[in-house]
Amino acid sequence: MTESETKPVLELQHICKAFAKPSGEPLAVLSEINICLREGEILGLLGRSGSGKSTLLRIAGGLIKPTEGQVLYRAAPLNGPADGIAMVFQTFALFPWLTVLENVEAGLDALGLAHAEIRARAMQAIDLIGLDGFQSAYPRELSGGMRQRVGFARAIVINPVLLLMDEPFSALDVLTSETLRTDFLDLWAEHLLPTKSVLMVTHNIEEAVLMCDKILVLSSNPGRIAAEIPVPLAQPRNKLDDEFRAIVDEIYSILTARTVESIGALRRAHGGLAQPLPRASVNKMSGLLETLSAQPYDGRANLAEFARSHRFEIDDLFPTAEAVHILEFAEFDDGALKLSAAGRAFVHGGTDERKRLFKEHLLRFVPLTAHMRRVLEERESHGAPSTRFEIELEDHLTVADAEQTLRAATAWGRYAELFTYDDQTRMFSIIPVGG
Amino acid sequence: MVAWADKFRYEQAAAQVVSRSWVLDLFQQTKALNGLFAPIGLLLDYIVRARLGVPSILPAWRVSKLSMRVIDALWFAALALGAAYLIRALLRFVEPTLSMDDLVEVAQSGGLTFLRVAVLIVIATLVWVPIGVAIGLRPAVAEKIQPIAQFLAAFPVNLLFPIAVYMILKFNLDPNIWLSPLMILGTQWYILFNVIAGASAFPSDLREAAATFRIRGWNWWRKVILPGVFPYFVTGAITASGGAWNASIVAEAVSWGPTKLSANGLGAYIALATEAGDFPRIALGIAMMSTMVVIMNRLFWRPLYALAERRTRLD
Repeated sequence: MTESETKPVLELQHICKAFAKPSGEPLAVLSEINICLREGEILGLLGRSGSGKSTLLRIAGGLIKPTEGQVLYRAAPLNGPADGIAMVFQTFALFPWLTVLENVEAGLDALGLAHAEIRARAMQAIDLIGLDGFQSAYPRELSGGMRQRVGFARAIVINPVLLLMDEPFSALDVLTSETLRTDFLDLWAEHLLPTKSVLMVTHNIEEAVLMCDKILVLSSNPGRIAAEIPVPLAQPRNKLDDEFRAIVDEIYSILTARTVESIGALRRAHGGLAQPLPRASVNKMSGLLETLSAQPYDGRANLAEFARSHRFEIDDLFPTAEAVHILEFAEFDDGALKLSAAGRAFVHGGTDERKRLFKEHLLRFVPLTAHMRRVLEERESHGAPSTRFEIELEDHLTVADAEQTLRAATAWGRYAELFTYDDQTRMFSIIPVGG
Repeated sequence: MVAWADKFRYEQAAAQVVSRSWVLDLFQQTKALNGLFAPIGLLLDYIVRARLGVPSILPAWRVSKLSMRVIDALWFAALALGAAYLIRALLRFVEPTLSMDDLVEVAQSGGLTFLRVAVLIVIATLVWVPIGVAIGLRPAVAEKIQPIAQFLAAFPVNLLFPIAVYMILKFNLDPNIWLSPLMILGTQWYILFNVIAGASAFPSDLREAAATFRIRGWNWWRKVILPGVFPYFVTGAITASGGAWNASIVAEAVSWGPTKLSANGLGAYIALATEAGDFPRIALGIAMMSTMVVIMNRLFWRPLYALAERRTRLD
């Protein structure tokens, strides 16, 4: 089937979404999103946390109204949740006071069917999804994997045309998510589901390449479509295939290129205060640099392979890699991470040498920590409350990002002995030189 | 507090509406206020950290299973003895003046007041649960309503009693029915508070699931929100019913100047006995009231609370 032959199930046109900042000003989380989802397609939205991908999924489901743009579901404007759209949640979102059967039946509520038919369809869905024997169990009695099966059963029982999935496997362990993924793909491939299209959000690159026909990579702050990657491989796909690996590599390259670009742009804007700092501990950074400098990488590692052999997901590896890139201990290089001379010196240095290097790089390459140090030096009391910096950051970042950024800056600054922080009084301070 | 409590929000998706409070900003950002309250903070710190000085030999003091049982038995025996003594003292106190008829009367009054409390709690539930849910699901509204509800709960309802007396006399109403609402006036707000709290704490993923699957109308109340706020409601209703029992003493027998109105009920029984300085009857009335409150808690509220706990827990 070519694109022109199949009908679009869902179209997002010029979608923008802004949330209110504490000061009341709007802060854009999504900007100019255009998506066309066709029949028979599994479309993946891939992005890091904070790229607004969950918000986008909720807009597609009619749960959130976009600030601008419109959503067309089967060629008609979508205003609110509609017939034929079902969602599977990351947190499962099961009603704890209803049994498995009642939870699945709750999905059919809106259809106004006879009781006997509701029961029959729910049992059929439970059967299909492999929940037989658990009908009378309450969600708390089930394991995470079984809970998500209930989530799937509740979604497919309405015979959805469009299935929305919000990181459906990310709350599960590796083996369980593998099983659920495979089961779902089997049902999809054998056309046992009435579902025509799937839109799924994920932060797991391999999962996206494994499941999707097309992947949209979202960039952050605000979320934009950075790339559209078709996955023309036949199902079932093999993670070890060369073609499979090539696509994973390509996505890593796009993500790293995007990251490098945005780091560069953000460092220049607003005195560098608009740059969100990633959630990365000094220990993880040290570990990454050490691994990078050792064999077999010898200073340069392909991120896709690195993630695979160390069982990292992007939300795990990327923040750390981004942090060492920002600090210029290493550098993104087309889907690879390359150790810099300073990074090599850091790896070979002792504790004091590492701290000295870290401090030097914090002052040179992280505008926020340099700014914090300067403020503390200039103030007569050599102290400043954390809210002073929080408020400054919230002018450029979402509240969550501002919090995360300040937390990272605090941890890094403390390690480098750039300043101290008292969590009780929420005050930063320095012991002045020569004081 | 609402703005501050946002810090503890436990959710993956960012809240769409951010709570703000100038009081919080004032306290967090004003140096003078920080300094002013620092000594209080220090004092609290000191109190919290103060060691109680319990000798650390306690954990070493091992008791065998057998002697544990003996100690338990002794303790229960002591409790039984104490209770027996108290009952005897009570009986001896009321015996000279009270007969079996008094017991029947007080039991009947208790039954009447019980009926009133039950009906009033049902009515208050029917009124305030839907309103509380509607408010609690809208953070912006909840923020505005909360101070008003707090004011109403703190308002001394006795001030309204004369109006009730006037109305009952004017329209020649039956005090047995029309004095009853006064019992719940002050305590119904606990139901409202708690339901608002429950609805605000309702997980947003469950709300989204209900919205996606278009669970609406009565089904939404029955399957989604009522079970969700149920534990909070039970907490509020326990407080409200206990308060209503106590309020019956002032609400079942009211006076305005020379006019006195009273209903038949345990509250009026106690109030009239108090007015007459009749200690044996006061004692009997209070004993009956305590017994009924305890029985109601044990046989009704506790099992309900246990059910709420069991059903709404996910782990």
